[in-house]
Amino acid sequence: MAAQKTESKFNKENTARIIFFVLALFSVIVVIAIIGYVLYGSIPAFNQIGFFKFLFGTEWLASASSYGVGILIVGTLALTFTSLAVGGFIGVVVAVWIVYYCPERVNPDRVKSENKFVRKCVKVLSRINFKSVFSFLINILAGIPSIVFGLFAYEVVMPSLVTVFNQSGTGTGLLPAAIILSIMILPTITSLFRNSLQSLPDEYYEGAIALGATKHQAVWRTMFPAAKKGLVSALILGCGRAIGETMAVQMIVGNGSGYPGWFNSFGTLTSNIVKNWGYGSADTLHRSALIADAFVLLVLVLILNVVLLATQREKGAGGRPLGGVFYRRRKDRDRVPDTGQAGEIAVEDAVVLPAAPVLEAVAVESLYLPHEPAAVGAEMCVAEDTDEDAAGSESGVAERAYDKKGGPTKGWCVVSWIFAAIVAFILVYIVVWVLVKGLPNISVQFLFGSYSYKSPSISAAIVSTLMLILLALVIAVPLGIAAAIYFVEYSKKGSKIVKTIRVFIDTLAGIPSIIFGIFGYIFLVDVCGLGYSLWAGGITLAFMVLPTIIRSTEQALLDVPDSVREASYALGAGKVRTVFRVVLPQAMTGIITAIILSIGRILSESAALIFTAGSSGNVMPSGYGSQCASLSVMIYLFMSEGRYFNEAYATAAVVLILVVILNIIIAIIEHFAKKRRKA
Amino acid sequence: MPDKKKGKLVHPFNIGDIAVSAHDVELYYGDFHALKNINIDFPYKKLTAMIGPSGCGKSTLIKSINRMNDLVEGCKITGEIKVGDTDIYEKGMDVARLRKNVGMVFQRPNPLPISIYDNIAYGPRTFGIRAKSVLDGIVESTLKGAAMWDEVSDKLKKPALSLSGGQQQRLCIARALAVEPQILLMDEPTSALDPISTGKIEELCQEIKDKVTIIMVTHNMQQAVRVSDFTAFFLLGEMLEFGETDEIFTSPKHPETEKYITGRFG
Repeated sequence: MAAQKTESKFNKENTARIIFFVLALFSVIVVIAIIGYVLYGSIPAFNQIGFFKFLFGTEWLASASSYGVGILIVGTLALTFTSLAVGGFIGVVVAVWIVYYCPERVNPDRVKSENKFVRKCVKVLSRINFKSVFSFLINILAGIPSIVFGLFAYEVVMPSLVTVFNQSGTGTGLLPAAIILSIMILPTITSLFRNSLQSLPDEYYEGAIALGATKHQAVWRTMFPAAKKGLVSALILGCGRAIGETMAVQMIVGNGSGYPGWFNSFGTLTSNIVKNWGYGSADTLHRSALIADAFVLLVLVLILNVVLLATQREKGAGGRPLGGVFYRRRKDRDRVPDTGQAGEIAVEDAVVLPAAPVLEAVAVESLYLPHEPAAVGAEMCVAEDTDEDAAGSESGVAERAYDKKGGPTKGWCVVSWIFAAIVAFILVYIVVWVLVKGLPNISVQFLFGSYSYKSPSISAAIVSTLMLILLALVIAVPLGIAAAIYFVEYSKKGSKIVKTIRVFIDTLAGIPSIIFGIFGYIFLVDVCGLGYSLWAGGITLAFMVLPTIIRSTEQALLDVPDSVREASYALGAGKVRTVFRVVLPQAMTGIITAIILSIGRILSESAALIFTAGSSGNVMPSGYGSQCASLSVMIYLFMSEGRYFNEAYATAAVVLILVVILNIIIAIIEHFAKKRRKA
Repeated sequence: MPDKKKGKLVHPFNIGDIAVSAHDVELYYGDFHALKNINIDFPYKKLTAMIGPSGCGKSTLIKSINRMNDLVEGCKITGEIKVGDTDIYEKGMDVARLRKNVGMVFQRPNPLPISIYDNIAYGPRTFGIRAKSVLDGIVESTLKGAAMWDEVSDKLKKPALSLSGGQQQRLCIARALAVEPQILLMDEPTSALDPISTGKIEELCQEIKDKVTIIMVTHNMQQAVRVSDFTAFFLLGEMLEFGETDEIFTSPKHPETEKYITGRFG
């Protein structure tokens, strides 16, 4: 009897493990399917045009059946690297600012004014945590749909550039595109690099300060170089975002046939697909050439992923447990990040301290501050400076490092404040601009009425957006949570299979939405015969948000302390019961945040939907079989029709308000989660 | 389907005079040799204290007794550990049955982030008891047994984390007792607590000692003297000395034991 029980228990646990594992494999299947189907769709083009002719051709002329993506690759690369240089630089500096310079609160005691009104203002201000507010702004910037950036560029940036630089024409070209794209990739870079900085051990900073470094020196010479791995990853991911950006870019670059120049209309791999998709009907050479265009884009992104992997490869055992910048380490936890499940248990018997982190961190500093006048002197690491000083060395270098005002690094502090101010200004400007232009055009008829030629409405788009969100979440949430459970609760540390699956998930996360769109078109619309429909759109969106849900859930599970799992196991509970009764409920706020993030992503998505859910927004969907535009696609449709600019603004305002609301919800949830952790 | 009132049938271990015995136990964490040739018999319904400097393997041993070491990757164990007459590392051992009968209290209080009531009821529910009347009874009698009933009877639905550290730890002890274990393992149960809470837990241990065998790891020599019947001294993964507490502390046989208990190292 007892033996029988043992057996059945064992089976239940094993079955659960297998189920979670199979669900975790889903991402792998999706990635393989995407690569496979996009390649399959491009083969006719490669065959008929010739692979090298296609790749290096400098002319895309459908009328002459001449298809060459060479010039588009040049356009994409030029745009990507220009915006990466600007957006990456600013984004990184802003991340440092958020972590080290942004004041948490205003101290009311420091204001000396006797004026009652001033005192009152200061008192109100002192309640606000500026760090959270700024991070919130960055999240909003990340949540603005790319089509809205396109609208902003088209209506504000391009006309002003034309005036300033005295150009003729509309002002399409590399300059406006790079400006907008810099702003768009900035939140990605800033938040990822901020995560890396925040997960550095406080001991590095304290160590530097204890050795006599000023705050600026500690920040720029110890912390900044120590996070270099995160810096590289953040830049590569920003690069991936820039390469794949579609909807804004296609509105700004002009999609001409020339080479990129500051005010030269040119094309990119992505803009070319959107602009020409409507011209080639299915199964033509033109359509296949466009899919091949997407394939080239996919290969570029995959190459970036490989580079990212190579830079994240851990040296020895000291690296981060989950690889990369996607996971933040919570400092108020007693979890030992490297030991996974083992956590507390292993501590007593196998304490391994990282060797001399400060020295290691400082040793690389000079490589990363090449602009500094004192770079030669700075090669001396802080620790050595101290020794020399103590020994009474006459070295001028050592004295310089001791400049009480912060020495040569103080300039960076000023620069970071300026950049942060610029970013905040741009964001507020965009939001206010959209609201001012859009809100007056919102009416009840516009929101809920039925569509007519004279007074268009977004009621159908609202319904279809809700339906898309529902379908995508119903698919992606269970799959994502199951995968995360497998990784955190079941997989063995350092397992090869898990590492491989993780590579696929990271790849999936890096695939641009337009490729999801193309894949959705080939596989769901065409092969599965779903046609342009909300089915196809929703499933495509599920693939897109899956990595977000997996990662955030994983993080939430990792944040659950091991002591809680131990408590459950020690009472004789099995793994399944422990996971579902104890771990998952504790991780719930993190999972809900992940779901809201996904909703935001779906809300602002347009490129993937144009190819799957169709582009008609005037008929109310009668079910998942209907095709219907979502809100973001609607902005695109209103604009491309040329006559509904007011409606485009109004829709943008609606989407933006929703994005802000979602972010506020996330902020509230995190605020309470933090409070609860502290209590 | 298990009975909602009685829960699943979980067999207790067949225990004679010796509650737990270890024979030739060797334990490795990866390459680290944490336990070396451990041979010890823990007497039934007595409180045995394990003392020794940090890293000597006493926590490792205690975690081997209810197989919490299974959760540590790279942990290998050889030799034999028996609870009563059952080898707990034999193939097909039901770990749930083991852990039900061998409860554990950890160094830091680790109440589950649910209500006080649900914390106590977690164990019984795990073993299939669903009837509210039965659970209510278990919660009340357990909390009374742990001398906590008067403190918390009016806030059973409050989150367990709202209790003070000392109360949390006593709740954890009560939670472990709720599944009626035969053996209770305590891994430095008072090291994170203030003296008053420590006193209460020591009292509690004395009270429950006649129902359950207690094996306690402690860093506090005075505590070992105060509460334990037997004491084992560990050093660098080996057990150097084991005997009645009075004997160990008054006339230790091993010079290292004497050095340690007189505070000359550790």
